[in-house]
Amino acid sequence: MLVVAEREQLPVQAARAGSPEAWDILFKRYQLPLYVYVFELVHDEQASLDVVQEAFINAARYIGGLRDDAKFGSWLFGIAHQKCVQRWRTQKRDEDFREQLADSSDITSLHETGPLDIIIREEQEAEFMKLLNKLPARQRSVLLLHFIEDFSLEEIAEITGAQLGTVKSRMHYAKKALRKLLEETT
Amino acid sequence: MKTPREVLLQRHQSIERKLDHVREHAIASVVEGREKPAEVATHRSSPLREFLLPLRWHLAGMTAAWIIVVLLNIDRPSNSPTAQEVSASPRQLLAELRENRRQILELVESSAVGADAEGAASLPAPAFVPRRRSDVQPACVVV
Repeated sequence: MLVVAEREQLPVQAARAGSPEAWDILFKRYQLPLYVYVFELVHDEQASLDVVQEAFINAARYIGGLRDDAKFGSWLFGIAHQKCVQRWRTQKRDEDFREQLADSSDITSLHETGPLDIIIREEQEAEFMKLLNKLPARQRSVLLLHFIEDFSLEEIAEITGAQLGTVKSRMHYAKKALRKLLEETT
Repeated sequence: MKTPREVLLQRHQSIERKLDHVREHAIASVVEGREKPAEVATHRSSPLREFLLPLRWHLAGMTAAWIIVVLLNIDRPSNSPTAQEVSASPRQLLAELRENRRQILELVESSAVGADAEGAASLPAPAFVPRRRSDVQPACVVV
C-alpha cells in the first residue's frame, strides 16, 4: 500500500529537538524507499548504502534549515539526490542529447494520473526493471520519485533542482516509454 | 498485480538488515551531536555566518580582484622619482641658486643692451627741410 509522507504523523518536531527515538522513527520510515531510489540511480549497493547514511547524517545535522515539517520526506530525498548528482558528475554518461530532446517540449497536463495507474503483472516485473534502467538517469530519477513516494511534480522539481516544465517533460517521456513497453509485453 | 512501488520495494527487501545497521550508525551520530551542543549551535545560528554564506562567491571574487591589483602594482615599479631622490645637499642647493642668479642677471643685462639698441633703431627719421636759395653754394665755377 502506498504511504504518502505528508499524510503521516511524523515526529519531525521531536527530531528537531534532538530526540534519538524520533530520528529512529524517521529513518526507519524512509530507509528502504531512499535506498531503492539511490540504488536505481547509481546501481551500486555499497555506494547506495553510503549515500543513505550520508543523507541521514546530513538530515540530522541540518534539520534546523527545514522550514516546513510536512516536507521532511522530499527534503530528505533532496539531500540524497544531491549526493547522487555528485556521483553522476564524476561518471557522466552519453545521455545529454536524449536529455535535451526530452527537455525541449513543455508538457502541461500530465499529473492527472497517480502512480497507481500503472499496474505490473508478475511476468512483466523483470521487463519493467529492465526498461527503468534503460531510461536516461534524469528521467529515471523523476519516475522513481513519482513511483516510490508519490511526490508531486513541484516536490520532484524541488528535490532534483530542475524547472517544473522540465520535470513535466521528463515524466511525460518516461511514462510514455514505460507504457509502450508494457503494451508490447501484453 | 503490483504497483511499481511494490515491485521496487520488494526487489530490495533483502537489504533491510544492512539498512538497519546504517540507521543505527546515523542515530549514534545524532546522539554524539547532542553531546556537543555548543558546536552545533555555532554551526546553526551564527548570524555572521548566515550573512556571509550567501555572499561567499562575491567576496572570493573581490578578494581575487584585489590580489591581482596588488600584484600588478608590485610588478610595475613607478617611473617618477621619489622625494628622497629629488632632495639634494644644501651646498648643491646653494650652488644651483647662485647659478640661477647669474643666469638671471645675464638675462637682465642682455635684455637692457638689447633694449638700447632697439631704442636707437626705433627713433623716427628727421623730417626733410629745404634750405633757402641764398644759402645754396654753387657747385660749379663759370670761367
